[in-house]
Amino acid sequence: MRPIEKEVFALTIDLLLLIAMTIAAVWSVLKKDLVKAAIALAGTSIILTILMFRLASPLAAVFELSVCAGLITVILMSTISLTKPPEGRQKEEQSEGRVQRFALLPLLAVAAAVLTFAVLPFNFALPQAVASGDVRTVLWDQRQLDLLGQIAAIIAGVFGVSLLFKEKLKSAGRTGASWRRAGVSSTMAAGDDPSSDGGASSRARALKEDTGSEGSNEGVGLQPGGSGVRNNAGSSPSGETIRSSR
Amino acid sequence: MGGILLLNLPFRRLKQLAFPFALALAVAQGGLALFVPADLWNRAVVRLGGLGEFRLTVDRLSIVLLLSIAVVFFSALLVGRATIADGSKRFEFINLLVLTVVGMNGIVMVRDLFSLYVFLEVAAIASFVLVCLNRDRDALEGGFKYLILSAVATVVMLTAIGLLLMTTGDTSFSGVAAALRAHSNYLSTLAIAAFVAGLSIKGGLVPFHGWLPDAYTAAPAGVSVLLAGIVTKTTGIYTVIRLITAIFGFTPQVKAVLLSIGAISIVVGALAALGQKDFKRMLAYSSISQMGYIILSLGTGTALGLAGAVFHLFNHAIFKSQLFVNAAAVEKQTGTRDMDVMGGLSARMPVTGATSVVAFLSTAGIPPLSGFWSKLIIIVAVWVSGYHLLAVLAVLASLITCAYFLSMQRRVFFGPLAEEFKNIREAQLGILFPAVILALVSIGVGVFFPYVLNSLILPIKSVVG
Repeated sequence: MRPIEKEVFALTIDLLLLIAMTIAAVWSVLKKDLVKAAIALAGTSIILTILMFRLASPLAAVFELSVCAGLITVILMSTISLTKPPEGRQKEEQSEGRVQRFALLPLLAVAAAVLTFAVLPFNFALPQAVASGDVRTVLWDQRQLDLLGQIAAIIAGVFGVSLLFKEKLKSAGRTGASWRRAGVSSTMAAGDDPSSDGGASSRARALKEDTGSEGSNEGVGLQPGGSGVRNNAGSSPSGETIRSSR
Repeated sequence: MGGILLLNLPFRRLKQLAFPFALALAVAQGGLALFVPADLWNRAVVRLGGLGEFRLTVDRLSIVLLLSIAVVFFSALLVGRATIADGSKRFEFINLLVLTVVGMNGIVMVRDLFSLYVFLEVAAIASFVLVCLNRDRDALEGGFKYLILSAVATVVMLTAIGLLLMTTGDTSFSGVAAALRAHSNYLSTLAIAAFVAGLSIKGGLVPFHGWLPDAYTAAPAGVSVLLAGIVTKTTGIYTVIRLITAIFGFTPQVKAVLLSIGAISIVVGALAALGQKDFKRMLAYSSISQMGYIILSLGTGTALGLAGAVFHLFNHAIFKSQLFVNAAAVEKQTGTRDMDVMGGLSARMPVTGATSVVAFLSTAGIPPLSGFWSKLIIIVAVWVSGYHLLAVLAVLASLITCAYFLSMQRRVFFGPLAEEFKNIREAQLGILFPAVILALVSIGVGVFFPYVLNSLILPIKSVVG
């Protein structure tokens, strides 16, 4: 193949991968079954990993694959296995208008795209992207302030998880729906972490701690505030492992 | 400062010490912002044991923001202590509050797009959890809405940063600004639009305001004070001001967008506030309307407009926190936020009633309170720039503001005392103290306006250059 053909071929593959990734992402949002949604999410991550490899950033790709596709899927699966699937009426309520709600979304997206292209003078003249050195140098030598911010974000995530999961410990006899609600919002809160790898591992730790100590805590009887101390104590070692694993 | 705050966090195992410690932080930050000149700040280099050292940049605009953050942090802390009964929950509240403040201080002091994004996330994550602190259905709904819309904002902003990095090869404010001046193309314009849209979501401006009333209403009292007082202002409004003055510049398109967003926010927020029954929800819509004023003033692109915007931002942080403090007092004592069932509370809660009058007069722009001066500057700036229609609109919306606050006062504090609240008592000292302080600041800034203008507000003009 001539160089130009090769380029077009590569671009086509990238585009196809992007489309596949979008489909997988939409699938994971629309799926009613949580297990299938989690699998679709893992699929999204895997396609993203391939894209990152193709765009010559193997380090990011490895992180994406191990953490987002691997670890997070495991955590989601274990969380789902702890919850009760919705039954009967509840299931109907959930599925009502699930797809219809998004019916206008493609239309909106197309309209937005058309408007953008119509209003702005469009050209593809991009400057050459400059890779500015090794990820490690960039991270440790030039971006120290951001690292500090990331650590703060991770600590915030850990506090959030410990705070929102305490409900689960206190009320072991609640219905599946409220269990899941608490679980979903807490994982989401930590999932917004900019440093996804760090957030995930600390989240995993918090999750493990919470689920692991559930039985023993019930045995001794809950003291108010006791679990808070334990969770906060757990936050600092998890922060350590994140820093050293980088 | 942010670094110092953060370093202290892990050592606060002793729960009793957390509150005085956080209080000391708030006071220290306020004192530093008031009495240490900006060039001295910049000489300080933050060193961290193994992490090396880095520079934070502070100018007059940052100082005003740091001061507002300190004041609101202080009030939120006291209100949170008074309203959250559970000890461990209060401890979590203080932790997250400090983290939010760390994030906001970081936002105010960085000069790099990506660092800005990181600290935006710190503040955002901590506030998601704070909104959900009560863990009931409303709180989770409000927090979830906030989370989802913020996630959208995050994605949009990160994309914008990526596009800017691609087109300019840099993320520092000065580097991006220089590259954009040299050549701008389709992608950089798209990036600017995306960034402003993302920040508008964070700031709760009108096309993107869906999350704001729910989050403000569902959050516990202390958190509402913090969110309404400063979080949305720092993450949304300040960042817009900073990015436009430092990077994007006042192009005609930017001005048009800001002016229209501002005008729409003013009108929609004010009209929506008019029809609310819930005390805090009304205040939330009023917040949207007031933020519209700030953006409208910024949209004029003049130095006067900028000064008005920042001054109003500061004033709004003061009087809106105050109103939320009053709302907290009323909610704690009566157990409800429904304004229709209240009435005549002024007779039983004189301090809350009186401070609330100060705050609402200030919001509505009645002289000699602080809100009057900032609104005056804004309207003059808009008029002088030739947008006469918008200036008239701003004045009319100010009348609506007056109307809904009068209706609030009448329903909650004036009139005959409702039967079921016969035995109600004034709120405890922890809530009254910040209310009185904030009211005094409102009055003080209004009365000593010439001094404040010269020392705090006019130097901001230098940001435009």
